[in-house]
Amino acid sequence: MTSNTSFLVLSILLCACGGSASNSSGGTSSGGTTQAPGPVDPVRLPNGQVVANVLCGDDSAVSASGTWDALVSGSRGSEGSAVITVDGSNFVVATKESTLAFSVNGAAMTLTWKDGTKAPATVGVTRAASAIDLGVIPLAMGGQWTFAGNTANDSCTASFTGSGFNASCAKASMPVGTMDGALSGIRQQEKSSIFGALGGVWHLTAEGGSGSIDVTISGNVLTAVENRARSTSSPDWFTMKLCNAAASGKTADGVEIAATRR
Amino acid sequence: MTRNRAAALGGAVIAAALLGVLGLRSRKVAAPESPVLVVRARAGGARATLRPDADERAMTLAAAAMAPADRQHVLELIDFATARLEAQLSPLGTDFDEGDPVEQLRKSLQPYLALFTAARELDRTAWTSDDLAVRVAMSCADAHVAADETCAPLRDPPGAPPPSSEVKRARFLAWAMASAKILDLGTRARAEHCAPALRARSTEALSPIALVLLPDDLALRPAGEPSDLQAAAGRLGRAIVVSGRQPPKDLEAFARVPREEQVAPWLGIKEGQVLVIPRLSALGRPLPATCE
Repeated sequence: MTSNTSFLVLSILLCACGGSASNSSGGTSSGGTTQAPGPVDPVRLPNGQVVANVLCGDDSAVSASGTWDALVSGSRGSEGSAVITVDGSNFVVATKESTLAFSVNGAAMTLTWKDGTKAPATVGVTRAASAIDLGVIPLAMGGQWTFAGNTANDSCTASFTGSGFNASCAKASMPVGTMDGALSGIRQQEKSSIFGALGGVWHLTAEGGSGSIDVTISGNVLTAVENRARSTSSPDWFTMKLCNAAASGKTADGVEIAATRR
Repeated sequence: MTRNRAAALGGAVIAAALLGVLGLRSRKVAAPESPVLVVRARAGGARATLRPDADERAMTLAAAAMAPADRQHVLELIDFATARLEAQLSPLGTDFDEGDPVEQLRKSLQPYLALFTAARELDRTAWTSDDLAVRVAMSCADAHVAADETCAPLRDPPGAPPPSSEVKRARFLAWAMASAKILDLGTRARAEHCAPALRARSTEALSPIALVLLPDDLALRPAGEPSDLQAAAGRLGRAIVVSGRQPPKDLEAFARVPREEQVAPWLGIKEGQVLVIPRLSALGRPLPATCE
């Protein structure tokens, strides 16, 4: 798992990339209230091993809001760093190489991607919201999403209902490149979690993909395990725990992640 | 061509080992009264660079801090990878295992990455983020602090007010040093009894410990002859080169003997003390206060 992928998963854990404002009604979450972490069930790998837990201190996570400094280790020490900002109307992940920014201003939402010295690429976003409790996550994500492409015919759509999600792009020419394919996820089992409706066991599949990913969100821990079709090697996995003002995680590759809120 | 490269690598390993055995004396460094971080706000700029011998220094620290069982395991993994490479190279040999031996070795060493990471980070003297440049020094007076720099203790003394956001972030970048714990056992014998016990605990899945070091480990003092691990890594390095692969710097570094020089002198680790470095993924957690 690369540093960027690790940061992305950490960011999803902190924010889940939604907007509390919307062009429709509802959609706010209960971020900001103290949440009990709830039970954390061990996640078993297909080969029978159990994903080793991570611990990060004070488990009473109050909110994921704030500015977070994150470090990811690599084969040569702490190789990657990022700053992740999450609040009621912004979600920004900035690394040395790139910046992903999502902002909400009233009914208007914007997604911007800046890669190196290239000019920023902006994607227009609209959302028909539905109210879904996401616990400590400050931004809402329930509803129907549309991401505008370069022309009127190019767009990607996504929906999240709390118990399932779908995302698809049909060779859409987007400012960040051509997007093609579909991803779907279904919650197969509910679990108590500080992340509200996200708590549970999610099964993710991609259109045309040979494998799938099972994501378990339980208490204050997110664990993703890859299911490889026709493979005898150990599956890749990633686990991440959100504590009060700190987060930590690790991958099957031995990569470690730590984040602290400013 | 490959034989020449193998000979060159072998020569380099032997030369490095000889240098270590001959022992380039380290500079005497007075124990610091208060290690500090010097922090400067910046907008972009170059990243802090690692010293050229960072790999072998880190691997030497890591090897010293391994529990005997872990060290033996790493030795066996390296020997196994070497044997596979040699079997592949020999017209009479057969490698019965699947996959690339070097890639397989890398995967097998993954449980030790936290140890290697902590060792590399402990040896650093400077860190950068997009908006901060941080360096460590013995004291503010020693650091020659510039007008645009802030000098702050590496760790707050008890009762100190909360650090500024900038200092807190600087300590996060310098996490291996700023979050280290020094256990004062009073005597060398007690410290030498304590360190193996903590090292054995560091391999537990939920352990917050990455690295346990004694003052002699931090001095990078070479043994009389290359260790079994250095010798095994040397053989592996030669087999990798002969096989036509690019020698992986981190694995090869096990074979090199670094120049004798104090690591992290600002921590002022004295005889009778044990230095405990946390795992990056356990920064929020308390480290053991005793050997029990």
